[in-house]
Amino acid sequence: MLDLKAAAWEDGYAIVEEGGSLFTIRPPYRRENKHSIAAFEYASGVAKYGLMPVSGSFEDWGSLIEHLRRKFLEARKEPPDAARIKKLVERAPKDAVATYLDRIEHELFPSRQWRAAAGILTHLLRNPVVKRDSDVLDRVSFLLEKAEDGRANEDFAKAGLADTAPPLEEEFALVKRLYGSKALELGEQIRREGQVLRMGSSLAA
Amino acid sequence: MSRGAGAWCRSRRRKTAIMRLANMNFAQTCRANAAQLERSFEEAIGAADTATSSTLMRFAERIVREGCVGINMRPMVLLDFLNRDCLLNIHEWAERVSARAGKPSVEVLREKLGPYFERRMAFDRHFDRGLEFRYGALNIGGLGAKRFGEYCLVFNHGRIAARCTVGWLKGDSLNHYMTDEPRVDEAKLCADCASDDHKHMLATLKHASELVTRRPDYWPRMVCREDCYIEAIVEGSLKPDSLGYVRIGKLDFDLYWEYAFIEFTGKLSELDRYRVDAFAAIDERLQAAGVSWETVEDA
Repeated sequence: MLDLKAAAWEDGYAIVEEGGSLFTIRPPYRRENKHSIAAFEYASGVAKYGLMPVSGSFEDWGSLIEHLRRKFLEARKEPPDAARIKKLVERAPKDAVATYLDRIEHELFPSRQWRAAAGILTHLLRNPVVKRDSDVLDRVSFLLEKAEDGRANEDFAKAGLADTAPPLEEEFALVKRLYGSKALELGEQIRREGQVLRMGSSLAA
Repeated sequence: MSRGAGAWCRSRRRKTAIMRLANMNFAQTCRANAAQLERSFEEAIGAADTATSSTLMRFAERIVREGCVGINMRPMVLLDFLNRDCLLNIHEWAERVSARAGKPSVEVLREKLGPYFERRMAFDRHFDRGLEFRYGALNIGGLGAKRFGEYCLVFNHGRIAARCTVGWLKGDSLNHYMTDEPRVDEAKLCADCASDDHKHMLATLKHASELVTRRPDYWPRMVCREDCYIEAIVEGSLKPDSLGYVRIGKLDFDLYWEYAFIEFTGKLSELDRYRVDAFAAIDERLQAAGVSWETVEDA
């Protein structure tokens, strides 16, 4: 049985008692975010670091963490700012930039996540770490081109689905009645071949 | 003297005693302990063998050189500090909540501090500027009390010292210097405090026996961790422009940059999106203030 002793909901921090021992936990709730503390540290947690005394009993860590997650989300009023999060990439340090580029090549490209890759790379072009180093800049530009190609091919493939569109007669039911079957034949030909009438012939002449 | 007058005198004496207690000046108390600290420090150096006294001196010099005020904060507390451009202490925070919630600040504090309300109030009210105190810890590196706040704010000591009065206590104020009543244990506190220019002596005397067995790279963790630290009591306001840098564990730091990457794939959990958004906002403000990150390998 776990007893919740204190919490700061808006940050997901908590002090929990399990079998007479006290622990602190915090997001992202991994093993390394759980620490044993002495009883007198509970006082510091509350009186100095602003965790609020609360109570609650939980069967296991899973249900306790679920409770903390729910309270965390309830405590946050404004939704996260997606643009601000993405802009963070523009300030990423050197190590993070290198990791980003490796992951784009080895994770995003093979799984055809072109848009995600292009988004990251576009932001990276504004990163001073990238701008300062011509090798890194070249790599970013090359990958961005590849991502844009991938995205364009994907768009083209999607556009190709238009070939399976229904016949014009079905799609524009009144055309045949109003303009005759020749108009429909011409429409089908344009769909197949693009523009079929000569353009600007009088000027050329 | 009539019975009534006697009672009045007793009450008056009690009130005077309370007034006297409530007017203790922390900075003055720290200064008053200077001579005793100097004597004890010289004795400790004199009594030690050559190798030990050299270690003690090196440690003391490091405290003089690098010792500064560190304060651990959770993400939203740090963001509030940066947005507000000043650090609210618990009393100022309660006043703010009180104004918003329409209930007395003392009730807000009681709710917030739970069983520690009496102790916190008794300690702070004991000093003439106690309600303005801001608490931190001596820091010479490391993440401080990271279990209670993943961000360790390291203040530029020169800037703080120019604006505020900083005094130091050998241990945590509430855990070490309060009686059960609760009242401030003045005798103990007077012997364990130091003004800013004597903090190296206080720290050396506190850690003298441990220093012999610890390597210098462990000193930061020895000086400041969750269960053992030298408390800094700052009188005056702390502002972001006094920040030197903000320390964060390498694991956390790397994770936030990873979150930024995952955001583009649309696979980041709601909780993690909130967390990285707070990090992004903090990073934005720190950059604008010219304050940089310092990452520390997690112990």
